[in-house]
Amino acid sequence: MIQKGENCVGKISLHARMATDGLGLPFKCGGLTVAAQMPCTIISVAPLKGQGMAVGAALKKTVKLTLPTVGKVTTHKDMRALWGGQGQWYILGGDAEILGKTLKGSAAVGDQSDAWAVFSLTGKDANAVMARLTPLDISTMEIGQTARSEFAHMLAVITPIPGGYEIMVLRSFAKTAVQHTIAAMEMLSAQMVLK
Amino acid sequence: MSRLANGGLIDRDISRPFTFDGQAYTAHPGDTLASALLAQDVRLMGRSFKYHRPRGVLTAGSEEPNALMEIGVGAARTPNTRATTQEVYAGLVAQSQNCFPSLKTDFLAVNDLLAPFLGAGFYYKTFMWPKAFWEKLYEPIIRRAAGLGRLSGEPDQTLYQKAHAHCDLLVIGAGPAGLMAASVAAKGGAKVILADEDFILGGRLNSEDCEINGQSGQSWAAKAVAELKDMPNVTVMARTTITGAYDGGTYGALERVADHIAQPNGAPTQIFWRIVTKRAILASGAHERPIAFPNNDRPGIMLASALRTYVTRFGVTPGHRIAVFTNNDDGWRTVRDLQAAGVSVIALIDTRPEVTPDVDCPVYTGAKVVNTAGRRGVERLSLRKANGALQQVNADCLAVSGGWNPALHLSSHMGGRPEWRANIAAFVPKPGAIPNLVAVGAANGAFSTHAALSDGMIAAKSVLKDLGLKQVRPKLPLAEDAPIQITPFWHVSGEKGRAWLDFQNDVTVKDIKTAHAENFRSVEHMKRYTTLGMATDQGKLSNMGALAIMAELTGQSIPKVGTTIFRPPYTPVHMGALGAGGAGKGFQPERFPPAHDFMAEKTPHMIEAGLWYRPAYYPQNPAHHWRDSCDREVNMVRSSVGVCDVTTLGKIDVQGADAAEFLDRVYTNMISTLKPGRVRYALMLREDGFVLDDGTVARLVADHFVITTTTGAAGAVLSHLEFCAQCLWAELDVQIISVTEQWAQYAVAGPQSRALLADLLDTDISDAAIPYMGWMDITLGGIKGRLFRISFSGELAYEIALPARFGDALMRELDARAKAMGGGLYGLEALNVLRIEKGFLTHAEMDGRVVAADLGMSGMLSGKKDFIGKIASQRAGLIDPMREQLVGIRPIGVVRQLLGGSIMVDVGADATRENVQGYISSACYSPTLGGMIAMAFVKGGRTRIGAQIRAVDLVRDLDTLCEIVPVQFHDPEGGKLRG
Repeated sequence: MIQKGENCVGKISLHARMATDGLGLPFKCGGLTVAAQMPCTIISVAPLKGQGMAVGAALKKTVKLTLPTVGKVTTHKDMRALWGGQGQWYILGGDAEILGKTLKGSAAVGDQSDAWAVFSLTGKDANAVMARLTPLDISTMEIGQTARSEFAHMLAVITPIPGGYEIMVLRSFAKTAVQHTIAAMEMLSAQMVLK
Repeated sequence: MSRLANGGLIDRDISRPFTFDGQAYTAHPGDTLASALLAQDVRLMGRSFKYHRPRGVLTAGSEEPNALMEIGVGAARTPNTRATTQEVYAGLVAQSQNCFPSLKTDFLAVNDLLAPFLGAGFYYKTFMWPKAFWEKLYEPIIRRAAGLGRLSGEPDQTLYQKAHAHCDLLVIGAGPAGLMAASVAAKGGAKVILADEDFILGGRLNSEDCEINGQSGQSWAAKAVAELKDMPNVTVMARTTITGAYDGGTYGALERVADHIAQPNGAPTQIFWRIVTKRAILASGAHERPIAFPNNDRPGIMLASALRTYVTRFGVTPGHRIAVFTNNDDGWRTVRDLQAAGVSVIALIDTRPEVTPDVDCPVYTGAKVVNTAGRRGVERLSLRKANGALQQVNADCLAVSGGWNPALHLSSHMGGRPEWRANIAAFVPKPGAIPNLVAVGAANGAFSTHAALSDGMIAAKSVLKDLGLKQVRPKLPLAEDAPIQITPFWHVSGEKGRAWLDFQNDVTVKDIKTAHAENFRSVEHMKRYTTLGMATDQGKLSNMGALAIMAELTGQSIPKVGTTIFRPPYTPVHMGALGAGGAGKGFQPERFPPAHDFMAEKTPHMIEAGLWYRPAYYPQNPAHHWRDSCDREVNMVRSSVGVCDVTTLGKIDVQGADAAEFLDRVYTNMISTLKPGRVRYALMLREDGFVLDDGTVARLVADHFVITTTTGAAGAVLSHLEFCAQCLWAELDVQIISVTEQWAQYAVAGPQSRALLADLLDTDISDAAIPYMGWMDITLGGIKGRLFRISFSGELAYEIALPARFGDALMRELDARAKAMGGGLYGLEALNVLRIEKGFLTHAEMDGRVVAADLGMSGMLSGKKDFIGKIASQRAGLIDPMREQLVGIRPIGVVRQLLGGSIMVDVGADATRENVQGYISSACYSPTLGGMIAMAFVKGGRTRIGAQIRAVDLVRDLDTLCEIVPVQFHDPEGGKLRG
């Protein structure tokens, strides 16, 4: 199970610092909001050779989650499965131990909960901000879709959510990604005033 | 004042003050800088490039070659801005350029007197000798005398932005054809982007006295634009130039968001868009072309269409006694429009003898203008009538119309050569030259308003059909459909005086003749010889005239002579806009490890490696030299314990039944024999046999490994492994994923490291529990992690890894504990010294040019298996014993300094290229050894241990006598790291 928050066992206490901590989130500007959306877990699942169907069936049976097709997202309660690339998925909100046991021998499973920074961009002009940050044709993406693409010259996973988008970037890029997002929001807001 | 009493798309109720060359003027909203100056009788607006001749506006658009100005002051000063496109905001400061000391009195106009010596190609011939003078003397002088505007020399503070857009249809140009196309496509449900470089859309409809469906052209355009703006599937982009056409339906576009605003207040001044579209309609209109005649470049001489624009759109008349010189019916139209606006026209000069112009002014058919006069602007004309007689005309403005050239530039951006259309004596876009782009209206040689509307409608309907969208049945608006009547007339010949073709680069008809005489007859040669078409206007007005003259000279037709093709950008684009977002920290992302804030509290000195920011050293006293900190940190590790953040090293998780086999194939040494719980140093080669990277491989369980890479090569190694897994050996059961970001990892190094960690972890970490090159699971504060017994310092050392969110807390704890034991944090400088003392590698050594043998690692090339790079690494050139081999270097003479990058030269040899024996890859001061040491590559180095050699740095003037020694300086037996 993923460990979070303050941990105090034995003689040492370790304070958890999330990837989006200290970045000034949430930040609002001109009807737009960028906010941290860290899920409690992010588990990578990559079926081993010939195990794709078995992995899908096991997930369906154990956690009621279907592995999505390319560029898609599936959801069950608080868990989501995102297509993450060639033969790879990310399961957000799952229990690593349960998934590990369920998929033992059929998939390479890895805990990536600390590897990603996840934040959302929402608001009426979210599309216009995204147009300044990613080459994706964001207007054609719907809820239930996801894409790996460039975000302010960083690799990212971009997923439409109600009212905007969820952006995942690697943890070390979090500060740069949020800075670029805020800068794009502020510049768009200033541009709107000109009009 | 030359502002007409009525008319124009300007707001006369508002006046905006601005200055030009320090003189105060005013403009109205809707004015360009050019129209505002003309309205206040300013005709002299620039000096020409080479001869510094006085020049005024020739056009009313972005093709303007003459009226180039510097706009703004200080860092915001922008040179070469076309006054014909610059909108005026209150407080705008415009300055003339390429003149000294002033626009009116330019000393460099002496060049004009020297013109006989400065013709085309003069600098190719004149400045050939002595050779060395070109760079130091001739070129600087020529550049100073011939030029455009000045850059401020200060960092550009302008805010630029880049953005992406996607659509079904991109309509380029919002004249009648573009508006009609956008409207029809939008009604059919297409997602449309309509872009136009102007700030008022409508194209020529705003400049002509014309009607569509009984409304004025201006009104029809305004209404069409308003309707389009109201449609949710349409994006109307004014002030947006489509600058280039590229592969895959991608177009570059420059949106000038705030060039017309004094204080953008945080808004981007310009946005460079990348527009990806399924279809494109090129409705970019046409450029009127001048006629070359002697002294045709005086201020007051302009294109007839420009004159109509100034009168109709801006309510300005550039002259009060206007003459018109034409070879087509547009000249007649000009006369009528001017007279309708109340402007006096004193002559119509038509080169066609057979026509009977239907105008109410003195008409000269079969005539031509043969000279002009006037000091800083035209005051009178000489014309030669059909009967050969000369006549003077006291005109203060001359409108010239030589026909029209379709603005086809974008159509040739992917290499397509335009095609000749004889009936309009012009080139038109080659169909299909840009995939999925079709040219319509004037851009395709259909010059009437009716034809433009019709073309636009047909093209849009075709797009709707292609894309499977709703078919609409629009009603074509009624508009004029006058057929073009033109007799080509390119230049006046047989008269004295220079006739200008390329106004911006000062190229004359005579220059083309010279090029022909010297056999530079191919279009491309002629262009380069004369510099025609090579200025910022890229020959929009001059190319055709030059082609026509070359055709005359060679006795060929124009299409036989050929045409140059145009390249992006269509109009000049600021480098800042192209690189938008890339200035300063935008150049590349910054990566910060989990404990960055903690480390940044301790030191401001960071080194960027693989985008990561890593502490260089931790100063205890800011006044001390960095070496003091570095030496202290090295001594700390050697004597007690040091802590270093190694989170940035690449970590890749490799799982699967064939994981071991896979790693055997990508590493040179055997991995499959590695036991769970153990770690092995490993070397990876490229396919060509050269070293790609090194790192460690830890076997977690039989089918699960974690490998490490160097910080800088993490991405390259992951890509390499993905390629191997997906493309080379898809049959293997292996899955690869980066876990670099999941783990925070810290080196704890030094004799006290075991004591520190044993206490922290409350676990047995003795040599028996975790021997050198072993690893174990740990739990710290309830958090599961890993402990590796590996060393990059040569000391007893460990690397402890926890999930990244606990990295900050862990590093604080390690620092506190290390301090209590007489140790502390160490940075990259100390890390580098420690590894050089030990002879360990980084990419300073593995620079992509070395093979394992060069590094003394031939023993790591397993003979029991195949691996990537094995065969190639055994090529004759790569196993030559006289290749440069890695050795240690220490100074033995009076000079004790060593510098990285120095070349190695034999004692007594000259430090010249042919004597180079190698180079220093890494050098440092070793506090452990009390002197400088280095790692170097030396030819046959390992056979020369004990020999003398020199390290020479020619740049920093250093020559150090050295001894070649084994590369392991410190603890060569490895007793310390084995604990």
